[in-house]
Amino acid sequence: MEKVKKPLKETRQVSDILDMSSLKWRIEADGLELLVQGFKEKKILGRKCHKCGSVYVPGLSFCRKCFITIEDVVEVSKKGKIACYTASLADVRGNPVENITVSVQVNLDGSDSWLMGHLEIDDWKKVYVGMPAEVVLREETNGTLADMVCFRPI
Amino acid sequence: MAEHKIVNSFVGLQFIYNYRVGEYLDKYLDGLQSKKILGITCPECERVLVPPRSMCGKCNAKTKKWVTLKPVGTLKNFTISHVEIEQGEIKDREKPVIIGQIKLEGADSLLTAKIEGVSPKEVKTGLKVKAVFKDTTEGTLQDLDHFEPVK
Amino acid sequence: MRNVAIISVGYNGRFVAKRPDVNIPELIQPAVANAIKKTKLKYSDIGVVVEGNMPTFEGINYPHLWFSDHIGAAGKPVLRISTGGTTGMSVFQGGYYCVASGMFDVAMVIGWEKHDEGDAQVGLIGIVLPEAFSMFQFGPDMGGGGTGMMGGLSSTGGASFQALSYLHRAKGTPDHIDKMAAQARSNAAKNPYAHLQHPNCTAADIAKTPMVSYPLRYGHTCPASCGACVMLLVAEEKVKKFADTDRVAWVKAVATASSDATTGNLVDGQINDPAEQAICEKIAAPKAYKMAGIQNPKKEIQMCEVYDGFAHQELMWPEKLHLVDNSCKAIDEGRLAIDGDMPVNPSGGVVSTNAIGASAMVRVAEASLQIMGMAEGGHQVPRRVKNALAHGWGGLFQFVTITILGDEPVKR
Ligand SMILES: [Zn+2]
Ligand SMILES: [Zn+2]
Repeated sequence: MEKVKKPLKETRQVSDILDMSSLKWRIEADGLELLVQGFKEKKILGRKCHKCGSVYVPGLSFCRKCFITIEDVVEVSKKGKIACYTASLADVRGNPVENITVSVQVNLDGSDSWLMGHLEIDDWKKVYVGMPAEVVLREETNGTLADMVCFRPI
Repeated sequence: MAEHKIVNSFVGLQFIYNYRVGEYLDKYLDGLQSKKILGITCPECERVLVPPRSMCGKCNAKTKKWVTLKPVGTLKNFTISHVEIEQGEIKDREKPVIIGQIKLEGADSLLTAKIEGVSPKEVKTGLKVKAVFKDTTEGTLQDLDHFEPVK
Repeated sequence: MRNVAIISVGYNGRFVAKRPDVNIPELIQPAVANAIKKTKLKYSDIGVVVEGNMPTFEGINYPHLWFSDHIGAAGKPVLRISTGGTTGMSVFQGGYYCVASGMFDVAMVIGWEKHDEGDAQVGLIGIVLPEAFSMFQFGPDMGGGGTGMMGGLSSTGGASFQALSYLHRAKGTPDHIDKMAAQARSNAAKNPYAHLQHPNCTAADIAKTPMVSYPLRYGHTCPASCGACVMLLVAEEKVKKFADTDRVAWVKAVATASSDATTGNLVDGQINDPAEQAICEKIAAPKAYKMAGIQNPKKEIQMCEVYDGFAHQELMWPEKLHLVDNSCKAIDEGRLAIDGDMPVNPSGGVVSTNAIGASAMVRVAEASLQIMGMAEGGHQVPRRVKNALAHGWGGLFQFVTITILGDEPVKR
């Protein structure tokens, strides 16, 4: 299909702004609340379905498989295995980034879901699926998300 | 049943969009810049549409012949606006503004514009009006500033 | 339920990055005109118009208010459907329901996107919001560590987790993704409507592009395109009257399944693995094959068009659709090429052309052109296509749509 390429006519532009800050959403944050409350005592807390036994971290208030309300709080291990990872080497436009960061999803022992976070490691090429890793909480925890510093290989 | 923790979430983002007006409105805005109101004709039903568009929805036909309309017409419909919106907040206007729909002579569609030179109490449909352009035009919709009664 | 045929496909022209010369209605209108031109239909014969795109990408919630005059919708029902990446196929299936149900004899379906009016990255953030809120409730924890949700879960971030997990399961390497992307870009060069065309693109060409989020490179990701796709769907009794060709594409099956917004696997096994995709493998695909009366998809289906926003998905989906056992092996053996035994995305796929609201519909459109034998520019599959499968993916990972087309209607 041969076509003569001629530049397309530039027509006027009209700008519009959608200001998201004028909108407010209400969301349920049970699971996250439980998680950060657990941080206070240096524990990772989730919820377990009494029917199918699935353990969720963060612990939501219903079972995604059984569609029933779940209330049993359980503590899971801070240790687990890296289930999945990615390293950010460039920005969305393809420009290389200076500080390469590794994001991981870790399957903590005793839970059925994956917890996402940043992995502290010197060389991203050392990461592999199945690598043992643990949650690092800061010295003094106060029950906020900032308590969880990162994951670290064991 | 346990009490649920509910939080209000807020996202401090602004999305910016730039819409292309396309060839037809572009030409209309060129017209406004030279203080002319342009319309376009449907070859099938011969209606004159203003502002112009590429298709006649009634006939599903491509519109063709451009026409320059006389800047005079009849007020067919109006509303009186008492409030305005500023950054999402509604506030009272300093004085009410009449927004009218005008049928230009020779046009088959209504053009929406501000009406000035007549008080909200006296305005009525059927009023003969004429277009008033800004002194300095820039090729935007605001070039056609308002309509006012023909004296 | 009535049988429904696709009698014509219309594109507005080649999909490109920028269309400064037209506004949204003017972008869509030529696709409508092109679809109608290839039939004996008049505008007045169309009973219903179904339309869709991605709302936050152009920031317009009700674009059909703007363009109903341009799509021949005056005086007719217009339905708008928007389901993320699957939008185009959801729109198509909406049109299919209208005709199959007996409510309308002819439906026109329109999928479109004009990416140059907004910023696709910004648009994606808008889409990620509901996902993020869902994650806030259900996990994974988006606040943990320094990455936050944007780093890990904007489309490329989320997809890279999926890519890695897929490679791990399939025992593949990032080289396989390079190979797949190279095939897609070379195929696109044979499709006059495709956006990123790279004749004879090699895996080495792709491997030169920067790594964005391991294992995904720049060359593995889709462009942001402007364009529209239109199809005309007609009830069996009216096909002779309206079709201008003997070879029409019959809709044999439609299936769709949805899941949780986090990383979308409720069916069984691992809760958050984005590469598990059980909703496709265990729900939607078996449902589609049952409806189409297909026992052995590997033998009975001659080609597929899958939704591959990222090149690894072009490997992953054929496996989840039971068309290929191991795509990494299959690409090494050349089986996924246009002249292979299971051609995947002869059109170049989404990784070469992505006008999002159109993309999932283009999969159906391309599959139907393959059945009609009308794929232009050298991307027609050489052997006769009797059955073709089109697939759509959307949300973050949780929507899947499947359509199976054939050269003969199913006896129901
Ligand atoms: Zn359960
Ligand atoms: Zn007309």
